[in-house]
Amino acid sequence: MGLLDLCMLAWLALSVHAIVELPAYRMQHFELLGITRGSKAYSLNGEAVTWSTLSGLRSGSGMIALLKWSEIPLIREAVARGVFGVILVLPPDSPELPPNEDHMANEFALFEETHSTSIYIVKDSPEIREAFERAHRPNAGAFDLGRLWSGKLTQLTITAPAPQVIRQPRLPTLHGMLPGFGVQEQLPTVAVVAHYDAFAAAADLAYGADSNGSGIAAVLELLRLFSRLYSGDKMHPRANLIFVLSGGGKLNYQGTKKLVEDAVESANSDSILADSLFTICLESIGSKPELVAHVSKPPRPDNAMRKFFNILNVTGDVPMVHKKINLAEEMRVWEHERFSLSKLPAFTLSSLANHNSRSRMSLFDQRIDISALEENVRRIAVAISAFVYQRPAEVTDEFFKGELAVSREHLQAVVDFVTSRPRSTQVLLEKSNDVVSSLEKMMNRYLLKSTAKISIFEPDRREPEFVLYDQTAATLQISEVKPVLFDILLFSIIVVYLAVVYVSVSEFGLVVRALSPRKAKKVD
Amino acid sequence: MTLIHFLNCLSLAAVPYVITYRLSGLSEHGCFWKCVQAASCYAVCQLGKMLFLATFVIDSVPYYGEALRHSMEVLDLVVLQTVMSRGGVYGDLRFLVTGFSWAAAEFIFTRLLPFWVGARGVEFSWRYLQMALDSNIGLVFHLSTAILLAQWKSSERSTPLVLALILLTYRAALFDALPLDPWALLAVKACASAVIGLSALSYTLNNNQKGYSNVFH
Repeated sequence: MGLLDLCMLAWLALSVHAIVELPAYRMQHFELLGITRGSKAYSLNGEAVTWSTLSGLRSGSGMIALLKWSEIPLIREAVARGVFGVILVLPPDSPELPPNEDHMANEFALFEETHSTSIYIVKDSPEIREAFERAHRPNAGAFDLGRLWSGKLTQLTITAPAPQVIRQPRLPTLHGMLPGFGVQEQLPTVAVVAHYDAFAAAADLAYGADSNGSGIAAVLELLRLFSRLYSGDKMHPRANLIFVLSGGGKLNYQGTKKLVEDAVESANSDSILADSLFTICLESIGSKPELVAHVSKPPRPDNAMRKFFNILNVTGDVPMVHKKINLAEEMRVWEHERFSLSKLPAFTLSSLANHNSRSRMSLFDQRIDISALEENVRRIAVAISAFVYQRPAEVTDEFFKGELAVSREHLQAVVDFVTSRPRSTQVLLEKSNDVVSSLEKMMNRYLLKSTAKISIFEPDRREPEFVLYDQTAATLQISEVKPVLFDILLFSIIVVYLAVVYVSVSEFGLVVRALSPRKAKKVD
Repeated sequence: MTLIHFLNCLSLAAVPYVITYRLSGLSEHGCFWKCVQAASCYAVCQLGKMLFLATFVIDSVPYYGEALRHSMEVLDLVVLQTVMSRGGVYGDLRFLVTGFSWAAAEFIFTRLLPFWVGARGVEFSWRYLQMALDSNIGLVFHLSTAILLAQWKSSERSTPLVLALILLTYRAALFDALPLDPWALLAVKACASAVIGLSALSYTLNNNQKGYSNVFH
């Protein structure tokens, strides 16, 4: 008996935490331009209710609303009923491209207001679906003794330490140059820029495949192709190419801002960016084989940018979308606006026709069409080479065939790498995060005779442009519990039982007397 | 599941022990230290059993380990008997002291920690309530074993006595073999303990030539 129990004890000690644990992703929590966005709260503990149950209750205080993704517009009502927290369940993964517009609209609706309740997002899984079914209890308000005895509640718990402000965030921007043949300062310069970070409703879900994984892949592929052209003596073009992977893109393009300001103000070799003929910003070019040029100001006919557009139009129609910079607004909608504000000619090439496209800041942006990306990168490569060699695009088109062809494998490898882990700025700032250092290594491999330079953006000490908070992920514990009322019921039953035991032990003499042999009793 | 549930389980399991201690005459006779002595004997006995099993159980031979494990319960009887005869307690009190301390020590060593670790956990399970009831039943079994063992020396080792002791020794194996759900098993255990307890008492009362009992007033 003893050993058996000891074995059981050991087993119990191991199985005590036999509750379901799922990764949960805390909703974004940051301040940008002095405005707090997302959800400040971080822990929750309470009984799970679905919306259909909650809507029938007068008060949901102390409960946790378990909502489907499509029920996001109901968050306000749920919070008005006093729920302690909200768990949002993502819709099942679907391979559609572009991502479902309704899902993304709901994600945007999350940011319509700042939430004081904690909001966590969990991925769809059989465990959470099971919890959904258990949490759905019709007429939950009514008292039912039978259900009290046999039923269980689903308890959701997330215990997380309080989020702390990430102190002194340093956002690196990587830039490197392929110098042209001749005196660098006297050669024309073209810059290719893409920001490398991503944004989503939860920092740990920001995979950003199209925005801006496709841009990163394109910059690195262009760098690879042109480094081969630049390494040959005969083919060495008389133009400089600058490649930039900028940080803080989703935080109002802070990395780009810093890079541009430094280039304009300083007089060292970095300032070559300030003399560039134009800057090509790449974002979201992986969803369809189309390119749209977004500009803040239409270029004049004799302008180099106009010349470049003409070349681009040879391989396919590139419509120009003109959107003036809204100076009343602090937020920049495209990366090229950071250049345009400093009077540097720049434009953005994107497959998206509109800057309002929701997929640019969505957790559903997880896939790209690799053949579309390949085609877009090829067109950009042809146009850039036609521009720097001053040859017709039909001629340079021949360059990028055979050995110098755009490599789908390379593009795919980069996209796979950058979408293998979240890339929101909070996550990238973690010490162990290796995304930026890996990107730097990739750039260094193709930068001839030089290495990538790093320009660091640090927010202002007194009036920071943004404030980020950590604690982006936690563990959701789903456990089955009994209501407190059940404990009280159980307690009263135990009291009755113990009273019975007391009486039977105290009156045990009756049993003894009954069992005693008659003769013996006489002696007694 | 919360502290309340832990307290519920604990009171369900422990209060019968307290009731037995207060009402059976143990407290009146001031047997507390004798009980502690017997309980420490239980601990030493379990340790010895574990050491023995750890040395001799071989997994490769089917049923051998199980059989050995259950047969080791005989050691309990030997130690129990020794404690009873050398414990310095006389009369009917001695089986009460040993049986009660044996059961109480088992409760303390094998139940208290699971309650503390498990019943306080978030997840609700009936298991701890079942364990609490099981330890109540264990008290009856241990008292029956002790009361029968007390007759071992004085009587002429009759067949029913030997049979009952063997049954009690191997009861864990017997209950393990029953293909029942936990609640039914508890009911069976409760019935078995009642039957064995009452018959042990009746046997003792009939066998005891002096025919008195200073314990069961």
